[in-house]
Amino acid sequence: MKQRYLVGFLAMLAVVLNSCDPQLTVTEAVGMTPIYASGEESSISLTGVRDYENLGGIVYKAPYIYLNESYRGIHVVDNSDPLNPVKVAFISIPGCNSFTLRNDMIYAISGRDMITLQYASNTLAEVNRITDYFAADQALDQIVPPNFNGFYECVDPSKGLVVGWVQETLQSPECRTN
Amino acid sequence: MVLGVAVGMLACSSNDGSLDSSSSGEVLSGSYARMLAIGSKLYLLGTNTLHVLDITNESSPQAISSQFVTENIESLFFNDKHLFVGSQDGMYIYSLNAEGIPQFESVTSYEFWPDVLPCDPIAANESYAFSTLSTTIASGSPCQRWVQINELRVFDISDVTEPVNINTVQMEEPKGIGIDGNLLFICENTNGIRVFDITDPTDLTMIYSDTGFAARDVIPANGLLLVMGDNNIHQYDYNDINNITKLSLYEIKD
Repeated sequence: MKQRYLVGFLAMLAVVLNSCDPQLTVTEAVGMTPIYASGEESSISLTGVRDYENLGGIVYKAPYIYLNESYRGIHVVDNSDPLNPVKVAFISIPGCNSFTLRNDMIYAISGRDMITLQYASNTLAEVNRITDYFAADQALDQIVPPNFNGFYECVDPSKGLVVGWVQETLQSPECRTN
Repeated sequence: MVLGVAVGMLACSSNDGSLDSSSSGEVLSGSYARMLAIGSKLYLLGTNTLHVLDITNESSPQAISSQFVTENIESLFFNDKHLFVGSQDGMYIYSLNAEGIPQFESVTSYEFWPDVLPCDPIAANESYAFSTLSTTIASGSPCQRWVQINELRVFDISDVTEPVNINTVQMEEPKGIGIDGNLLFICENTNGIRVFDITDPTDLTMIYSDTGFAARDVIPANGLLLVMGDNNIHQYDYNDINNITKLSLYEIKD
């Protein structure tokens, strides 16, 4: 128990030390830079398998396992043989952090939009889009880097949907989490 | 060894087909789900709002309802009767009216010190709800806090307007949670999976564990257990609870 509070205290001390002198004008800082969807990633598409990171929600509809990669899309794994699963496709959905399935349909969030995709016989088609359905849910836009304290490059929505964040050295950063 | 498992599986399939849940088209979600299709409705979470769309026409969802829940909502679970919304401040329970619109029943606060808001997915059966509360001191984690809370809470929900905390079990760093019959499956984040017999919810019995790997979320699928790590899918056969067997480890990263 003692140890638990000691660890807590040290963590708190680290936060206090970390946040000193907020008036300081910063010309250079290590912080986060948004990654905007580009190329194939900026549109909804069915692609071959790709590498995988940032696990989001998971859905099992036998024999397939669907894995959301946060803000990028859905990996499809054929689990017909649980001894030997095989990754078979990637469904690129920029800004997707949530989805589910019903028969052939995939319901997903894409940035501020609610979209419906039909996925069957290895083809993908967008069949419905409710534009700006999530306009009031600003956090879905990734305007601020999630789970992060410090400086970041302000998001420019005209550059597209933010699909992730990367740590970089920033020149005169104007945005900071609080 | 591999042959043995394969033969075992064949035997299973021919007996009751329990490893083959493909027949129903059933959709099973991990405990961090934020969107569920239930009946003719689609329920989903925004950052602080529970939205409902009608999907009677599956290819043309119609928005029918949105209601504020609280800030920092994280997970959505349905126990065939009630909707459970997991947030960092408590467990929210909703019933569904005849039109499928959620009706607020209760919020059960986790009652920690101010600003200590653990991460907390929920799983429930008809009578009991289970919530894993976790924090970490690791920076960069969405669950970084200055006080450490890592426990499983068990609530009697026979009266959904007033859930009663009947048991609390200390855990390492519990994350994803799944329930199937009398079995409860809990991911320990960086230390594998634990399986509990919940026949007596006031006295859980651990019947299986497999430790030493990243485990974030879990889906029990009628005898087949899926455990997601950062880069791997671990699968187990739990048709025989006295002999839970690891089936495979699939590296999904590349």
